[in-house]
Amino acid sequence: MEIPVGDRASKRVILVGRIVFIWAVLIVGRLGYLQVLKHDDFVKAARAQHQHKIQIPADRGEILDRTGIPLAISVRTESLVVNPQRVADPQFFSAIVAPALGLNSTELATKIAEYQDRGTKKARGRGFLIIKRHLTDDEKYRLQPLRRTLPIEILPDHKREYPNGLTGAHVIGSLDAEGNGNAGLEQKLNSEMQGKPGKMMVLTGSRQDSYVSWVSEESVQGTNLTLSIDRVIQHDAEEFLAEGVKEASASSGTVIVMDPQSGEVLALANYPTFDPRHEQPTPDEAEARHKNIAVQIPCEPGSVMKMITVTMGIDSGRFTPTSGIYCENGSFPRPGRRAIHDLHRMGNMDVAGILIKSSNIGVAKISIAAGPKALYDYLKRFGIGEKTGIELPAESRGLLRHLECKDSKDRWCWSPASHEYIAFGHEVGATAIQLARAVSVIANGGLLVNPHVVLKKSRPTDDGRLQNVPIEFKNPIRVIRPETAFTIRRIMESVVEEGTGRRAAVPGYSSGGKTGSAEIFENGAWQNRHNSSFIGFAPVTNPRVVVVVTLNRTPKQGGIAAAPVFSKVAETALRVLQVPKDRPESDVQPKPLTPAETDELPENRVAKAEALKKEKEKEKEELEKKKLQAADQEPEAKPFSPLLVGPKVPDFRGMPVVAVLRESATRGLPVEIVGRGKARVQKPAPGSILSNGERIQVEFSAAQ
Amino acid sequence: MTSLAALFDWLAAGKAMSSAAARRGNATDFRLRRLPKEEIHLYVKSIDNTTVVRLVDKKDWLASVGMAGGVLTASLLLIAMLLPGGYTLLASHRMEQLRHDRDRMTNELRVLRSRQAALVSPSQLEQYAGHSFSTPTAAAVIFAPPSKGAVASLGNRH
Repeated sequence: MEIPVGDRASKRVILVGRIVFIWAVLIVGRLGYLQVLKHDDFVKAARAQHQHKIQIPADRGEILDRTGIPLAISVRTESLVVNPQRVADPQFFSAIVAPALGLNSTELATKIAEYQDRGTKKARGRGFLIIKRHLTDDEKYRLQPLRRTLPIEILPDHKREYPNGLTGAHVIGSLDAEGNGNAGLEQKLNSEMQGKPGKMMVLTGSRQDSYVSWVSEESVQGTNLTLSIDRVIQHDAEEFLAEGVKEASASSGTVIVMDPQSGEVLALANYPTFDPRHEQPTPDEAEARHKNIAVQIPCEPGSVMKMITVTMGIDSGRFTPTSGIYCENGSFPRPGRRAIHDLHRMGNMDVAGILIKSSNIGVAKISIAAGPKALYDYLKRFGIGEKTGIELPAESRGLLRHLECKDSKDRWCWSPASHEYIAFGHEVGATAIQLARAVSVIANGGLLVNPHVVLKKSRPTDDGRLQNVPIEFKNPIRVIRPETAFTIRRIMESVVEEGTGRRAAVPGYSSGGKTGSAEIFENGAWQNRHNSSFIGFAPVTNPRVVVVVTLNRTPKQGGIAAAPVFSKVAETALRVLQVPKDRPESDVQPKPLTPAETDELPENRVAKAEALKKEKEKEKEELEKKKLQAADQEPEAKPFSPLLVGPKVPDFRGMPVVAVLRESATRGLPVEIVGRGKARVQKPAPGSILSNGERIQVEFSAAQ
Repeated sequence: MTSLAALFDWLAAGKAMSSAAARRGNATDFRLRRLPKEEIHLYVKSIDNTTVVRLVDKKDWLASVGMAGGVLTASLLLIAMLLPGGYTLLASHRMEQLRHDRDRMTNELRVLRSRQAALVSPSQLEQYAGHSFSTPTAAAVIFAPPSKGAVASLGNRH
């Protein structure tokens, strides 16, 4: 049967309609899949193509000195970068770009080629090359027309400027190429100072040209630091240290200037130093950058430790400044171990004289009398063996072994004789900052302060004002009695006036201190090289500065090498701090020194040993003669030092009782009154020194 | 009454034709011919409005006023809606510009502070001074005499 034409046509139409319907369903399904199910993925992909997130670098916090002058400041700059993978012809690219920047085109082409897929393994396939950092305005102007045709980008960058150059380099520190601190405060407080980077969204076209950008998150500037460092004192300290190191033929050295009342470090200098402005330092500079001697490297303090031993003797009440100690005429034999020697023969000495003349035997005897526990306790009280907490990286806690051994294998503990040697600065290690802290105890009247270099932290708010960030400073702790500190201060003044530290005299100011020289024992032999040091303060009555000078590996001793540096640095510091002079300036020139007075060691240790041998032989002969002459001869008279530490006795004669009482109360002198009327006789005589515990006896009688 | 062609002739071609004909004399007549049944009859009819009475149509009036008011209100609303946005846009632009200026000036200030600090740094001052300046000796320092009422003086410290 034949199907009518109309039916066939309608069937075809229905078939086509069905095909079209299925096609439409498929299209709609696909659309639904792309637009609904895969919506997020495609949006992401699209954004990745045309929307970029750029980090806005945060401004790094500033570092200011105590007067508000910037020591380190960040300046916004721009840097030129390129994606080497997008450079078709490095030669052509370099020939155009390099002249605009004053670079060598061959070197630039080589570098780009290395960064492309034919370079070293290390640099293979890198997509980011900084062609030049910190572009100048001229360079940016010259690059402007090239930006359309070449795949270069100018990105925001920061430049850290150190306007004072090398001054305070070890305190301030420096940054690496990534902008992170790699030394000093820049390293220690990096997280606080670097701030929080912001985010900028950029919409780009097919050529990656940005046409819209907006800040999605503002950057937050880092914390500003105001330091306790005074740049003038710091600069002069560095200069005097460098001079001192050269004059003493030392290998390195350090100077610390500190306010003993507050613990504020006014200057901290090391030699050798480095230039923080160098982004690519030399190997020597790189080594110096990571070696902050004053804080990180402990060394045997030598005789400066005697200050603590004598303080222990007096503060514990076992000794007074006038207590006599026999110093064994230069050699103190010890059972089963090496004898303790003095450089010069000394007989009977008072405690004050022991510190003034720097007798090893004298302080060893003080330590033996007090015992190891007391010495260990006082070392701890002075902060030896503990970190000071200064805000500088990698601070050392020094070397102080435990008092008691944990077991028989424990070697990090004191031997039965350790306290004899630690008394004069052997078997112990201290950093310069620890010594500065220790001498501050004497200078401030017995308080252990916490050295710090950061005075203030501030952060800019949204309205541009600076908001202070609170800093917690630990309160000083009393570790010795104030009268002990006063007594030691006066003894240390005598060290400068008539002892080993005469070259430390500061013109126009009274000063006190202690020399130290620890001979270096290396490779099984004495090296005839010393760690020479001087610790001191000025003025004596109310110390405003404590100065510690250490010169390493010098053939000279502390009184010769370090004391003059102390004098210069202290003078500068007192002048800058506008401290009134307390001495007549006629006293500026110290008396000429003799080798004996300054404890100058012979240049050669062998020569010194021979000299000692001859002295001993001579001494033996003399002793034999004496034995023959008088067996029952009186022992040598106790040569107490004429210097008695204490106040001068005023002249009360002719004064009524009330006036004497008022005067003595004002001066804090103990007075014993006998009789009534006017003072006629007094003991001790006016002008003499009143020793510790002594009273002034004043006899009164009615007017005749 | 006239035809469309005549009107055209009169308006456009008439004058030109007459002047051209005058110049050429026996030129061919190219005026449009009148088409059949195409006359337009224009005439004036006078209307007498004297008897017309004006009726007050409140609805129309209200509709007109409503329309005018609506348009006005819509315009005001539109302006009120767009104005803050526009103002915000302008203000944002201005703020962005000011922020940019502030950043630029802050940076300039930093550069200047850095330069100033470098210029007055102790090492730089030493370079300026050369060897011309030195610390005076103790004997060369003269202290000024104390003023009246002074309780302390460096001059009298001895």
